Amino acid sequence: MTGNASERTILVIDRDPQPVEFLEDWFSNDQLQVRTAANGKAGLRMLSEVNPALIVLCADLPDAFDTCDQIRRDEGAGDTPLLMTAGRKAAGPLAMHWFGTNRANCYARKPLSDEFLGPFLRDLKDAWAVQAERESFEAQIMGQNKTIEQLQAVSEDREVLVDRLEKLSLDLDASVAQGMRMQRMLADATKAQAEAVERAVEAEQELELLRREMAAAEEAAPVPQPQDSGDDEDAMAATVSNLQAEVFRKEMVVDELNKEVDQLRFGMQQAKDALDQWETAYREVQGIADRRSADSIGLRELVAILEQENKKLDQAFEEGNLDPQDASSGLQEENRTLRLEVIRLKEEAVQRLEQARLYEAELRRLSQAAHDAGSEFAVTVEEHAETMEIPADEKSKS
Amino acid sequence: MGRYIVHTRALHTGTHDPATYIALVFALLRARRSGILEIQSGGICRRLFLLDGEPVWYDSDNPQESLQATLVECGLLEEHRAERLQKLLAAGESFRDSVLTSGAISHEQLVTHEQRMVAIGYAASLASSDGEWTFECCDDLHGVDIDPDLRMSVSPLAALWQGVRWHISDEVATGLAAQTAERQLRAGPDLKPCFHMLEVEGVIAALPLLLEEERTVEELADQFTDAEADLARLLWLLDLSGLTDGEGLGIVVAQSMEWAYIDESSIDRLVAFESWDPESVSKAPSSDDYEFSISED
Repeated sequence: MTGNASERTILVIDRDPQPVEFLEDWFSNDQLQVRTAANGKAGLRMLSEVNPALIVLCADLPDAFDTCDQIRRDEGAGDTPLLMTAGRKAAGPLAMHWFGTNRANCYARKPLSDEFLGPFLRDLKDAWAVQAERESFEAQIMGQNKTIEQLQAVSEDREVLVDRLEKLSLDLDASVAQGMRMQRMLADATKAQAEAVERAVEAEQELELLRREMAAAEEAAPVPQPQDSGDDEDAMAATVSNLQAEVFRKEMVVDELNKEVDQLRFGMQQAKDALDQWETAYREVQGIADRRSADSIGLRELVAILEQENKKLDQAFEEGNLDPQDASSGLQEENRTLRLEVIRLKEEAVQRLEQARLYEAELRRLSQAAHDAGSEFAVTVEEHAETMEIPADEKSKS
Repeated sequence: MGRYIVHTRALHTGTHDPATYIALVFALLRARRSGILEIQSGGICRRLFLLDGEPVWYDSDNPQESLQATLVECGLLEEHRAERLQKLLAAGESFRDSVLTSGAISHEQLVTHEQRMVAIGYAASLASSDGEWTFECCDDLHGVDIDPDLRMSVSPLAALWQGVRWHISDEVATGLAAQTAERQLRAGPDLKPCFHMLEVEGVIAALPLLLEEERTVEELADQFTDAEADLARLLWLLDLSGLTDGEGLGIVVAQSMEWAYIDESSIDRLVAFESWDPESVSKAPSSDDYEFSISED
């Protein structure tokens, strides 16, 4: 345990102020705090509170060796760097302590000086720097893993959307089939219209014929004479009257047929408009589906790149290429670049997801419009098809 | 015979005798090994605390080597006062603290005395002809972590040479010289830089100059007729410490100390304990390897 990188603490178990002054001076440029305890017992109590990065213990204290032993046995602080100081040249207990299994990392004579302690403290600072680097690196890796997870979640959302789009595409295919069915019906309706027009022409021709016959009959009729029999006159008048009634009826039929033709034309125009609208919607939907497919592939590639980069970082981390002297600066730079790339990709993915949602809504709307137009057209055609049966029957009657 | 024992800290053990002891402490010094060297001999346990191979503390359960006894013996503390301080010791209080608190002796005097005791203790085991040695390795302990101002300033080579002079009698020394009269000797590569650390005094201080060329022990003895015993002691010490070249006991002993140059912690990492042959790791020389007897005074 070496304490938190942002707020390191040195625990000095000594009554002598010199080690505290020396360490405060030595670490004046570092963010750290020096806490003191007057004896081993107080020091051990403080140990769990401050989680020190370095422990300095005075060997001249009566309980120094017991304290050192307890620190080394402590589950949390057992590995903390421990500097033992002594005011006098070592006698037996201290010299024998060097050979014990629960000894300090370093033994220095007081007053503490840079001459002997410099290398030890520099090594310690280096170790702290490496540890801080490592912690930062681990935090970055964790952050990137989280981003990757988020991107994977986004990717999964997109997969769901793609599935839904595929379903919509199937619906679209069904709609296309319906459109083709409608086209066939339109062709049938066109044919029926042509036949109706033909029948109307024939009816008009028949009417014209009847008119001519009627005119001829009127011309052929003799000028009423007083000596003529009243029976002939009555017969002729009845014939003319019948012909006029027939003409009137035929005119009614022609008018009816012309009216139907007009209605049929109007219905056909409506059906053509609906078909055009459906075709436009179909093309748009098809375009959206294509773009969605391309986007989805792009996103998968981005996620794959991110995972690959993350694996590289993990590998570098496991191989311990964290020496701040050479590797860390490069890794840091690479890591920073990668993090920026991850943020950019994440933003892009979110934008694309938003766009996909808009596409989906638009697709739904267009699909519904096409479906409605198709249904309406089908109803119109069926209605007209039923109406067109009437003149045909009428013709057979006449 | 030495053997490797699986332990949380590597342990080496072997049979003790003066020649082995010289070779052992030299090997540990050369290899800069830290650890605790324990010599069990004649019911006495001596412990040397070595930091990078150099003695930094000495501890013995021999009452004659206690702080109280040595202070009295050296005249730093009167016997009756020492006894009174011993009697007045509070629970958990050491005699050392009591002596300092009473003001009977200053801290500087005490440290100087302890330093001397460490130097004497470093060579004290040369007085024992048999026993067992154990070395507990502390390979994660390095001198760089201990402030030099806290350590005892003991010159290990000078302490050893003094020990050899104190504990190896003239008779034994001249007997050794006679046994090896025909042996050819010359200076090893380390002799020149190390010799001054032995703090050899007198005419034999010129020995390295003579050993620049190969000479027999007999030829050397002819050069230093007035210091024949010291010359024999010095040649014996140099031979065992590997500072001279020649086909002597030194090679055998030095080879037996090769384990001292191996970091056990790295071996532990490389070799599975199940497949480890502990007998093959370290073999200290025994007194059977050579004829030797020492004075017990």
